[in-house]
Amino acid sequence: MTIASLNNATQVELLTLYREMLLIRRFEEQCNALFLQGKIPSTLHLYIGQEAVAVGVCAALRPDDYVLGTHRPHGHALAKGVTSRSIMAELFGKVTGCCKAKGGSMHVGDMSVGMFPAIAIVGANAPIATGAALSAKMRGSGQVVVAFFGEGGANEGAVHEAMNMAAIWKLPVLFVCENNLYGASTPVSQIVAVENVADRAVAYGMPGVIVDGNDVLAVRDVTRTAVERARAGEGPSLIECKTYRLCGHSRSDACNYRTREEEAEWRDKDPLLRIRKLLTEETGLATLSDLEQVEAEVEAILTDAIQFADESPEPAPEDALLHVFWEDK
Amino acid sequence: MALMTIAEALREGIREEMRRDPTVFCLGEDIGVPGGFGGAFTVTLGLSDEFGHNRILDTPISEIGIAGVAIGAAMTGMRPIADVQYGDFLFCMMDQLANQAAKMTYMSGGTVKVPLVMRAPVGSTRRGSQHAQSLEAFFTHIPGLKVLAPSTAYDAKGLLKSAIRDENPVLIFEHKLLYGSKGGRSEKGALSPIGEVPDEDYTVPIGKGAIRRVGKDVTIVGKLLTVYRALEAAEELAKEGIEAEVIDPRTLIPLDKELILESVRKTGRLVVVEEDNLTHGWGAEIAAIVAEEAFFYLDAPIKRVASLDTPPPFAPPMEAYYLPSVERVIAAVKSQF
Amino acid sequence: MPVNVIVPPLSATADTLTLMEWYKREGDMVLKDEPLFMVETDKATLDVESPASGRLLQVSAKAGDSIVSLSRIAVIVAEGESLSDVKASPPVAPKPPVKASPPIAKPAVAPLERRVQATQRRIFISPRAKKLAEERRFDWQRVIGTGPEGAIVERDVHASLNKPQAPITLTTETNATELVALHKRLLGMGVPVVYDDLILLILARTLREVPKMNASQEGGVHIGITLDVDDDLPLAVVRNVDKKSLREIAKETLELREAAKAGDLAVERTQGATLALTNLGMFGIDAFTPVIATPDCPLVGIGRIKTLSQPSDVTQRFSVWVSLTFDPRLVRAGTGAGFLQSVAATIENPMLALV
Repeated sequence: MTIASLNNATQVELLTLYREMLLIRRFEEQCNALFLQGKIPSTLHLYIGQEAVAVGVCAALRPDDYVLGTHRPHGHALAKGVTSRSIMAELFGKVTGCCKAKGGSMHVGDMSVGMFPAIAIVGANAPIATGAALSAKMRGSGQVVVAFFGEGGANEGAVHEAMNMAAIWKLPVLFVCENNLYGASTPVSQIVAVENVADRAVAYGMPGVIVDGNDVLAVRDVTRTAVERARAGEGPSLIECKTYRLCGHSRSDACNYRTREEEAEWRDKDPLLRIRKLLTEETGLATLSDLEQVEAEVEAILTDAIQFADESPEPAPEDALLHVFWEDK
Repeated sequence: MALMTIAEALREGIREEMRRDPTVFCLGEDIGVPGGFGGAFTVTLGLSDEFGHNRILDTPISEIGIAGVAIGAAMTGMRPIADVQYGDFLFCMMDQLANQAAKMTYMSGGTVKVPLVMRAPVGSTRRGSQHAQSLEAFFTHIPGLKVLAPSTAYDAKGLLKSAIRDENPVLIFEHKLLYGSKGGRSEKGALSPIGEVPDEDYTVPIGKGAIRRVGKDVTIVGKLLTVYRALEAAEELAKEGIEAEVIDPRTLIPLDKELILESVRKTGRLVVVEEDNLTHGWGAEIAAIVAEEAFFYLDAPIKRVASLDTPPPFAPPMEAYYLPSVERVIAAVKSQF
Repeated sequence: MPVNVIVPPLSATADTLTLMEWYKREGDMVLKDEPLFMVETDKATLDVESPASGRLLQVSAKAGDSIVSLSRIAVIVAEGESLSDVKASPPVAPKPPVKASPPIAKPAVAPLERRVQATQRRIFISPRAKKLAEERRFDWQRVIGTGPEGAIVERDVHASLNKPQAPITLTTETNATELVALHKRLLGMGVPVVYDDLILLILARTLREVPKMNASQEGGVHIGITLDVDDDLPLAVVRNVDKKSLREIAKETLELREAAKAGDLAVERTQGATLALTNLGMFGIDAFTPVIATPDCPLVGIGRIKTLSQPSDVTQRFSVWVSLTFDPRLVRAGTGAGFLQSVAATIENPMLALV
């Protein structure tokens, strides 16, 4: 590999990307274990295999930019800067959670770091992202908004309406399609007639970009281009990240709709293996002990988050009555 | 003080709030197009001349998009007023209203607010089934939404201002026959309740009902157009010695329960009149509240007068048969004596 | 003790009613105040409630029968009791020892066109009307409704309350031999009681069995007695009689009598009676119709204790007339009759006041 293939990424940048991806991977693996221990009372949609998308996209954003996640939002939230503690506590159903235990796994978010409460109705976040982008434009804030959705969500009418409106008003919004090949159990070939979701961009009058969603640097770079365009007032972009969900759709999914061979193939393309290889074998920017140090940091963060969640108090049952309407503090 | 129709009062309310607060803006279909209608019922007519097309924003025919855009803007510092051309189209955006707007504050643990206003015309006006429904009750069943139903010019402006300043999603239902819209947008059979509207800034509090007529023998609760049907019935009943008290809750959520209960405690009788169809409706909820909380004050069975359980029919004789008429209100009251 | 199921004197004009339906069968368990059977009068059909909880036995009338007012048509036997107890118990309601006085005024009747159909099984009353009736301790069962579906509504209760209603007086004569003996024995033991004191005790005990007769919302038993003071008959009230011993009652009535004579009976000691007692025995009156002073307070009258014996008899026998006057809108006639029967039975056998 040449330095050019690094897209001018420095060692620090690369290690940061690696740390964030590893944090998501280990967070999700811990969630799985904690679910089995009965610590997490809900089902979970894990982000394992798609870490490069969230981390690559968010690496191209400003802290005050907005991200709207999906029903599979832990990766989006962690990448945007929501703390492990507050997400883990939310999953545990504790009052210290980022949504005070009102949201749960599918609604984690923290507006103070630009992460909307995740929206678990497929495709419904797209028009809201368009609205946030309209707001950014009206307020002249220079903020950019990202709506994540899957190839399944791409077929929702809401996404279509949102893209059209964003395009006619040239709004600073990025529609990031995480094409992980399956909408729950349904393969993409059954639900999309065009070869790529991004091919639809031309119909809305916006650029459509296809990127290897398991290559964090590639994702970061196409996002940067789209963000620059958006901030310049040139309007929205559609980015399709080709990736793969290495885990089941939800906790109860045995993945009988896909082959073990296909899974093995994609495990070889695991975005974490990819960045490790880039950092060590391909560029020599990091040593194994550098990586071990990152891994230790990540483990420390998670150990702390789990302990925090475990020790945090449960909400009072009657707290269910709070926040139906906005309450001034 | 000026005499205004409801359409004019709403327009002035929007104008004053947009002048007062730069984050307030309108979006919707056909609301600001030069040479257009100013919305289906002229409420935003001329506002784009003052505020421009960025703040009186014409949208594609995309109801999900309109709702979602309003929500996203509201969550990030703006105060959108979304214009829904016909209330029936709210069903197109049901997910955005029911799953997104209504629940965002709750599921974020009270960390996010959604200060949006959505205005929707309702009422059967010879347009057949898909531009005629009175669907307020659907939205009163969704915790997290505030639902208003102004029936006078004064209330329309005052409640709209309260809604714009509220930190929650607020739906305002307006009746097509009450707008008093003029010219090509005027409605056959419209009542045009022109009322005095103060020139100075004022608001009508959300959650406070109004007694439109004082009486001692029966309480008639109506909303929007049926307030006027109830008042007409009350005048007829008075000729026969029955004095009806007519209550207009003005706000459906939150509901001024105590005003209704207080009246029923006095009169001992309740008739609820609404233009929505009968079954599982708003009237049933009012009846249930009274049965639960003022049972021992009731001197006769509660009666509901509503549209029939059919889609709104088109032909005028069928439409008239379907709607809650003054005669049906009178008959319901008399059955209680 | 088993309780007799008595046909209430519901008709002001006829002594017989028609038994329409039993709601329970012989052998069924019933609850006090649960509707037990339905009778038809010349005006309406009415439900009669069970006087006690227990098993329904000895049913002697069936649906369709004509039944005589105040006759016994069944008994209620409490758990643990047997029918032999029934036989042992005194026959309480023989043919006509209790007579309803003829009505002076016609009872309240609503406009004919909206009357309840005679065959209607249930009487409907609006919650508002029922609440009003209960606040005024008004027996709405006999009001005829003019509201929706013939229901009794607020105006019907008001109309009935506003109409003058003659009180009903029931009278009965009872054996006072044991009462006289008890009085004599107590005096012999140096307990200074008068007959009024004994009657007060008996009334308080009987009210415990028939609380509906007590004109009190909160349940206190406060019995007024008319005092014999210089031809005047002022009423003084003995409070919480049911919680007092005979000696305490006697002490209090003596005090009241003396205060009345001295002319310093405090006004508050003359108010709040939930039942009143007038004894005209000292005036040599056998029986009389007392006048109700406060509308909702029933009044018990006691006449002269008469000797039934000849001077030559070895054992002396006595009798006394007892009457009960009440507003039939406030207390059902059947309830009144049952109360009077109990009072008479307890005078006849004053030991019952001790159990």
